[in-house]
Amino acid sequence: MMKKIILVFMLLTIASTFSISSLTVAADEMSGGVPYKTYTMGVNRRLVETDTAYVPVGILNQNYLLNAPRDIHYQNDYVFVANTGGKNVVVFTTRGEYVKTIGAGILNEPMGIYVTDEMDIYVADKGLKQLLVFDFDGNHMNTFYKPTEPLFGEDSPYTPEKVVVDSGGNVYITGEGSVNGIIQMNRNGVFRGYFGVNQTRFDWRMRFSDWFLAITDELAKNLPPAPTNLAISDKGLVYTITSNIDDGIKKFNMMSVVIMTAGYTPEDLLVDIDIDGYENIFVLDDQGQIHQYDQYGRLLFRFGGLDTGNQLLGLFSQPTGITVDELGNLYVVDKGYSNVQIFYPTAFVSQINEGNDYYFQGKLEVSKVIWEQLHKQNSNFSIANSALGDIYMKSGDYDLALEHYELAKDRNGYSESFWEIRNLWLQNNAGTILVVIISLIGLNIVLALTGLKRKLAHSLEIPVKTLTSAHFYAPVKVLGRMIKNPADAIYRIKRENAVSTRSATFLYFLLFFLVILSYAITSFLFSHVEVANVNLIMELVKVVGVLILWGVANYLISTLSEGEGWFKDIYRGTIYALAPIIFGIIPLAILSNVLSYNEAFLYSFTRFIIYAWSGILIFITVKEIHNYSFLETIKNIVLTIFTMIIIALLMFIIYLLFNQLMEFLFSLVKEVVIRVQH
Amino acid sequence: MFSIKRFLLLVLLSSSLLLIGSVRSEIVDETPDYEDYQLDALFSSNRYTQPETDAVVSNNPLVKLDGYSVVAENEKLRLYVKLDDLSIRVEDIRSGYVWGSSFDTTDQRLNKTWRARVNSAVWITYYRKTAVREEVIEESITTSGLSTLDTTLTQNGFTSDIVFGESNIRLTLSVELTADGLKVDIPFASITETETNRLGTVRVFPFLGAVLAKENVDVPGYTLLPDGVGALMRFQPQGVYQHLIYSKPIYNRDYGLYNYELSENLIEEPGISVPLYGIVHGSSQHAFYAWMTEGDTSARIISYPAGRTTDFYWTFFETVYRIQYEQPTSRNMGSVVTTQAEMNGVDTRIIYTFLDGNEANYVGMANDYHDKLIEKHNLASNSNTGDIPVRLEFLMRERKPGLLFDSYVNVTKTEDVISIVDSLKTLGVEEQTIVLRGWSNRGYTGSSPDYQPFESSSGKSGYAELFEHLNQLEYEYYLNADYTKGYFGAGGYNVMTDLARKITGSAYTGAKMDYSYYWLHPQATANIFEKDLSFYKDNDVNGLALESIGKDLFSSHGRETFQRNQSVDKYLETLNAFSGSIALYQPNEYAVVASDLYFDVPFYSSLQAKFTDTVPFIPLAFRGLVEMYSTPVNFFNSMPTDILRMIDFGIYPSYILTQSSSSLLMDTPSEYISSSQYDVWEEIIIAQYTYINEILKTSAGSMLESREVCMPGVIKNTYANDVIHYINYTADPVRIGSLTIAALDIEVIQP
Repeated sequence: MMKKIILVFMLLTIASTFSISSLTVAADEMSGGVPYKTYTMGVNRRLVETDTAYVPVGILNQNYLLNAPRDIHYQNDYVFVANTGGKNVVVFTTRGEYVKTIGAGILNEPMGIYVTDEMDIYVADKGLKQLLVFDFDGNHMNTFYKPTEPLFGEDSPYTPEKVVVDSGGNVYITGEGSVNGIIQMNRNGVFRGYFGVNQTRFDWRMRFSDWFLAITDELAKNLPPAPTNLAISDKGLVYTITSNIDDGIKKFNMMSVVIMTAGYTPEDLLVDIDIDGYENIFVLDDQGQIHQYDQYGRLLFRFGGLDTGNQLLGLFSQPTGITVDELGNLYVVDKGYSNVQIFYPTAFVSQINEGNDYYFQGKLEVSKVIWEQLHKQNSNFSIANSALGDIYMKSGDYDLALEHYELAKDRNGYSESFWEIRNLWLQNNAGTILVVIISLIGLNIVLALTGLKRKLAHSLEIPVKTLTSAHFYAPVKVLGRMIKNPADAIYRIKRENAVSTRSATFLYFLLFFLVILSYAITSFLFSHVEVANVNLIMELVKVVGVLILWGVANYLISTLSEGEGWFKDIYRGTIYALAPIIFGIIPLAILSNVLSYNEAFLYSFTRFIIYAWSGILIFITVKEIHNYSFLETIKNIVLTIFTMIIIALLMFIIYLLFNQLMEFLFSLVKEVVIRVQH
Repeated sequence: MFSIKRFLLLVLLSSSLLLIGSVRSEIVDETPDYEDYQLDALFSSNRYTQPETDAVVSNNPLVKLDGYSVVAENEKLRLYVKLDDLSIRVEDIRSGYVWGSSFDTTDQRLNKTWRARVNSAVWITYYRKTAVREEVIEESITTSGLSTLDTTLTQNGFTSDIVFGESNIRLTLSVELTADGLKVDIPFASITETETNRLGTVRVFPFLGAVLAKENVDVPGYTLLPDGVGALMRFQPQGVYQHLIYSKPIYNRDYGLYNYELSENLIEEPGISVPLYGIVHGSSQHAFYAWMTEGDTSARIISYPAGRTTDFYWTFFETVYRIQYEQPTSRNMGSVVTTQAEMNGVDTRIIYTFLDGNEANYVGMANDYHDKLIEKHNLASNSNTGDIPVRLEFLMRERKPGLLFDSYVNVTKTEDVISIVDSLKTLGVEEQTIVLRGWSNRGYTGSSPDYQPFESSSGKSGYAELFEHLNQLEYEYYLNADYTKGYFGAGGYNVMTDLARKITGSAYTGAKMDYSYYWLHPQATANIFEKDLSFYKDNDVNGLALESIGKDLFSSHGRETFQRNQSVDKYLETLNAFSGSIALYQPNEYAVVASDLYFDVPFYSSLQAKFTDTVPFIPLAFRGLVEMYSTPVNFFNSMPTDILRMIDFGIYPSYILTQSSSSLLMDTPSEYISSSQYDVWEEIIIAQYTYINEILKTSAGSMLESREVCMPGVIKNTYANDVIHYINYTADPVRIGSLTIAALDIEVIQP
């Protein structure tokens, strides 16, 4: 019989895997001549699709062959390309006309380029290990060699790859292995120190392996990651990008202090960065994604991508550099396709730039007009909604502010506007509230004085009694007793069989239901669960599964350590011990709806009480059910938790093995079928 | 002369409110507008059509007539053949220009294999079974010297039974001279394989029209590829770029045969919706286009730019009879390479049409193809004049994922539609085509294929009232539906019997946000659709706007194989079962001829770097056959040039509308609609419609005779009724003779 069941089960599993479908077909098709989607930062750090921000419009070097170019810089209507493979610098107009070639015969491996307002062209040459300066006519003006100052260190590498220059003529150089940070020199080539050093990371994994694997070099190797590229704004502030760290995009002041970190760092390798006149930050990664941040480091847009072989306009092979001109057009240089692609901003971007700009300048009225227009054009753009929320907040339109904050899912803003609205409501209704309270008290007194209250209680006595003596009411009573006198309640559960297993099971599911309900009720200020993304099965496992695992593990441990309780006692006791949660979770969720972040402590404190109380009750339950001493109980609980972990691990291993088995059977069947067919 | 500056002003003023951002220019005048900083690079990019050179092509330098004998002749053309390899020559008697399927290879950088490929009329690939695997091998008629040809001359050409020497695969090729071209056939019935050698693909006359391009181009001209809206690949000297081969299946990928996953950051590039390509030698001098009328459902268009393996530009159809695919043997990585067991049972038929003089360009090809479509399918060409229609697509209800149950967002009610339609009519938008999406109880996404009943917020009576109102106004209305997908959780289909299956045996799915669906078997689509017919009839629904059925074409491989040509037949049968009017979204050729309206005409090609131009081939070919509407203006990203493009291509405007704010659509599968509220759009629709209508109605009902690029970004369209439209895409006023065309504007010259 058992065999048969197993066989049927296996067949079913195989059948289901056969029919599992694999292909996802993209639904939308490119009809606007843009091959990529554009994303913006949405709720809970989820990227959401938004209107197209930049349109690819063509290739700058239509009629000029570049050779594996690596960097690009815009200055005064000219675009300068570090044509690395061609060992020179090529100058184009923004209209795509070839102007001239600079540094031919001198340059060896020009990797980075920067051009000052005065049209001095700085070229970082990795091959020559020099930083060379040319004038616009192509004359070689100056060279920055490896600094000789002792501070620089004789062993420190000097292989300039990227460079920027500030208005005082100080140069900032990054290069291969420049772990000490950016090399800063003055206009005369005097080393002035390292700039923008990243923090050494404290890595648990490394520390762990250090402890256990005794590989002593590992920790020593933990050097700070080197910035891969840098940019300088019109205000002379330096920005750096560093791959693979959380704060990969940073803005420094003159003193090398971080003054801004972008709110989102792409996971891929960061390749280049540039800053426009609005202090928007443009970051390019090696997957061809272009990220635009505003001056506060908020991600406005992300778009772009790598080509899949058809060489579509707007996609890249190996993007290596990005620059932005005064009109907001982007130029992206591609080493793989040896070209420079041009992107135009849409009206959408221009409006955001202006809206932000006026907003930051404090011209709220003008800014408001722009944001309102933008909101009409794109009702879901959260930065516009947030900004409108702020503006309405300042002008006292709290309801409108609340509406926009909610659209933007801006929790802090929502909380503030909610506080204001609630405050106004309280002020307006203080009289009414007072009257209601006073009249309730008055009514109570009157009822008591006239003896009506006693009569009322008397008349309710019989129905209440019938209700409380009803069969189904017993568990409720025990739950109540759990709150008032836990030891007594447990005594009843254990010795008097006051509750049934069925009622306990009911309570487990009730708890699950209440947890789900609380997700739905809790104000979005306090809930970090996205209702649409809740997986009911997972929740069931999280709530009921863990509790049952606890019960089983506890039973196993206690049988070994002379506990008195049976499994049914633990099973029943555990859920009754959670009475505070069962009673409290919904009121807490309701409470969250009248609180703002100012009173957040009320919420978290209440929640803490509820959970701590349940914890204590669990402790008491274990102690009483097994008739343990205090120390024995602690020991039992620790062992139980350990056992739970072991059981979970075992289940996981069994799952893996079972999967392997299924995989094997699947392959076997499928291959036989194919061999037979052909 | 008729000036439309007034309308331009109106358009700019009102549409800028929302789309151009004139708010900004009101505040800071010195900041240039988006349209002020368009560079030359834009207009010389492949987003636009490029000017022609005036080079004269007097003869085809690659092709000689030596060794060829005449087999057929008529007033226009003379057909020659060389019996050794069946290569042909076609002489255009009108101009004396000679086209050849092969050329003298002696002076070219070509090895033996390539010479065989060039010279042979037919070139196949086949799979040879060996002990371990199946190899892919190619063979052309002259590869081995062992091939036998049994050629008989017919009245207008020749027929040849070919036995390939190495593979022993047999097939029959027949070539017939028609009034204006050639008809080339390889009947499926004539193909014979051997035990070990199984046919993969067939290519016929791959080098017909080939052009040599090294440092210089032999013959100026281009290849027309119907990629997206239409693209040209001009013959260019080799040099600046190394371009890749163009190879795309006709009517997109067959999901049933090919696995494909696109990065989530990218958008699917437009495909080929008509089975055709064209080659021009000297614009408006010599040209032909090849139209595949049989076998198109399992063929691809392949086009080689010069520099990619050879120094030639050459283009051809490849009929695919079998593919190799990876049959997964495990759920993770394991797979075996397998050859398709059952052949794709299609004939190959290619109709070549040779054009001369003024017709020898993409406009001439489009017009000729247009006429041939009418002839083939016995269609009526619509030559309506007067006001143009606008498509208003209303979103009624959408689904929103919830914790336990999904909820529904009602963004428009039928009474809202009535008031919007009425108010637009009073404001001057006289011709409207109404489309309702999300009219079903389960909302727009996730209903398919189970549509009944009407959504409850307006109810059956609400819809009845709306339809009656629209009937009174004599506006056509269409209900949006999609019968090709079975959403998880939607009823109306059977998971065991109704799903399409991939060649590997699994069902195939797609997803729209959180909602996944199966692709349904075409037979299931037909059955389910038929069941709904009475519902539509009872509720006075005379128009349906069907998604996907005209565009997505796939085979199914469960117990029985259902090939793409069978799917076409089944879909056409389905469409014909409905007696009312049919609108389709981006349909393929076979579906266009069965429909009345064409929605979401693409505005660009896939913009591959090897393309040099975007041309309105699709709009020109289907002009008058179906009413063509743009994608909703809500999604335009290049304003106002996209409006100019709409007029340039002769396409009608579309809008997606809702009564409520689009912010309600957040977190629903329609959240990409970021602006649709009627209050926001009213003024824009009126201004844009007025502008577009004033221009397009001057050319309504007339075919385009010529499309000329005066300078990059400036187009001159001449219609059959002698109306001329000058379209200036650039940000500067342009002078042409005595005429000045304002920046970003159109001048209409009436006779």
